[in-house]
Amino acid sequence: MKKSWKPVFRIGAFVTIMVSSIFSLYPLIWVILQSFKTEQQFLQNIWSLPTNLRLDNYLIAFQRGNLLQYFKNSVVVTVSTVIVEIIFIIMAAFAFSKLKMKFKRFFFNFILLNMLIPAPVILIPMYMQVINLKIQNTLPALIFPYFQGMAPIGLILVGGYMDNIPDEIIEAAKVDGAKTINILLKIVLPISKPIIVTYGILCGMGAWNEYLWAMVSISDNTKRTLSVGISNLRDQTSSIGYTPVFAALTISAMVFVILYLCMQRTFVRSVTAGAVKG
Amino acid sequence: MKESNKTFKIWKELRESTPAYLLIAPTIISLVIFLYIPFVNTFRISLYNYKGYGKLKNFVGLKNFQTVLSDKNFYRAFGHTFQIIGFDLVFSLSIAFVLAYILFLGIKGKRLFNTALFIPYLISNVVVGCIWRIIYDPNIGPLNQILDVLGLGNLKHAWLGETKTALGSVIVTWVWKSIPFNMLILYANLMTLPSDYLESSMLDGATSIQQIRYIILPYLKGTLAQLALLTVTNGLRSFDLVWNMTSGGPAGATNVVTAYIYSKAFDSQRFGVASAASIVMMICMISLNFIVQLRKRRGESQ
Repeated sequence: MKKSWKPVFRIGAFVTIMVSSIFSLYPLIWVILQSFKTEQQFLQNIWSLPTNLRLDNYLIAFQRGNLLQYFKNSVVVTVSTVIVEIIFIIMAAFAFSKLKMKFKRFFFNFILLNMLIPAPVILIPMYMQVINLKIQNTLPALIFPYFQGMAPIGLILVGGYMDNIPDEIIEAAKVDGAKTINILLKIVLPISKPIIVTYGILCGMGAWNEYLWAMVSISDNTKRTLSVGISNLRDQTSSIGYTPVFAALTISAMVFVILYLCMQRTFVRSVTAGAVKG
Repeated sequence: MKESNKTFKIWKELRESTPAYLLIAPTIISLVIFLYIPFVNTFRISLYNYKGYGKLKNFVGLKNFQTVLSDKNFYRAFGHTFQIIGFDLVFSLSIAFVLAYILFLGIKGKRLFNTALFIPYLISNVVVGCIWRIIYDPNIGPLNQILDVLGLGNLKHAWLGETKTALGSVIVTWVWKSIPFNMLILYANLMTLPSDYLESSMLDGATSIQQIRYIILPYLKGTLAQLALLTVTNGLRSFDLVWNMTSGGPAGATNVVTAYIYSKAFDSQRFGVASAASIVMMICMISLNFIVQLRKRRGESQ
């Protein structure tokens, strides 16, 4: 958009954006800077810059704060959740979009209906369900509840994308004698790759950041995820000090910031696509 | 004869649907186990005086609902939740719109600003809560120190520790965290605005304000409605950010509905009451959704 701005407005707009950017970035930058300082440097002057790239706080957080364990757990939980969610949704979306199915509408609405049930509402019975099934403190106790939350949006995104693949291609493959499973794997899947990446990012962010359910369903300290671990670490500032907590916060925050900086476009596409979730 | 033909036809259709059923089975089964059974159980538990372990016994009928609906703290929690939502709707959406509009018109270093403004979205609510808790800290927190430097020392507060300032401080953080998403969506939708709309209006001598009022805002109406709905549902669900800043305190000054449910269940072991509160919350959410859908449909038919 080319438009001639009055200089006053141009300066005003620039200042607005500049101030907003500082306001938006500074809290994180401040935390990162503190994470390299000694506890004493921090307590003396919270504005001073770190003198060198000191990693001691990260070591303390890893060792005494158990952060490495939490981090590993979160990676395992996130990766396996994303894998399960993607596989289940690809299968379901393909069936809804390209296969004959009696009672299709019923099953479709059955999955979408869950958009009306906010997660906190089923917190308590879900907790009892997990105890009934004796899967407390296990991976499935996180994966499947996370999946149910992400299923409707997945069906909308991936299914909608597959709807746009012309049926002629599929019919032609069928005439050539291709099996259903091969049509999915060899034709539909390669075409749908972009939307699967989009959906995968949404799933990944969801699983990595989730807090309430992870806190309720995982009681074993060695199995906790990063968000729960960080939240516990925060309460230990009196014993391990503030600066290791800053290190922990930095690590947790930077994972998706770095991923975003590496693949900005894909991320933006995911977030925009995910806006239909409601 | 005709009857058996019909049965036969359904059988045939069902048989032909087998591959599809196999493919949707994992999704359907996990939804049944981890969504619909728990969902039905919410209603069951809400009728019992349940402590969270053992068999469901001590049927109390609707007494839990009575407890919730006569609990002052429940209404307070709802009030706080709606205050968060209200301020979020007004401030987050308007600030996000201004930023998106400036970026849309074009500015030097647009890409850099775009990235910088988006960063808070990528940080989890837990981490945001922890960071801002330190920012508001009365002793080592940057906020009070900045006020000191500016000579506004008398404005200093124990922001999250005083009942008067706690909710406001939480709301500021909440809005800070929600702006980037709203901005991104508004910006993405502004970019789809056909450029001749604005160009022809400029030839007609329309001012920027007129353009915003008569072209841009009507164009974004659907998006704004969608974002408003998301703001409300996210607000009703708010827990992790608030919990990590204040744990609902001081003296319940920042307690929100989800935190109310959580602490009724896991702090005071009153699962029945917590379930009743969940159901009240869900009714609110569904009726809200219903109103929005209804208005949307009416808007479309007109």
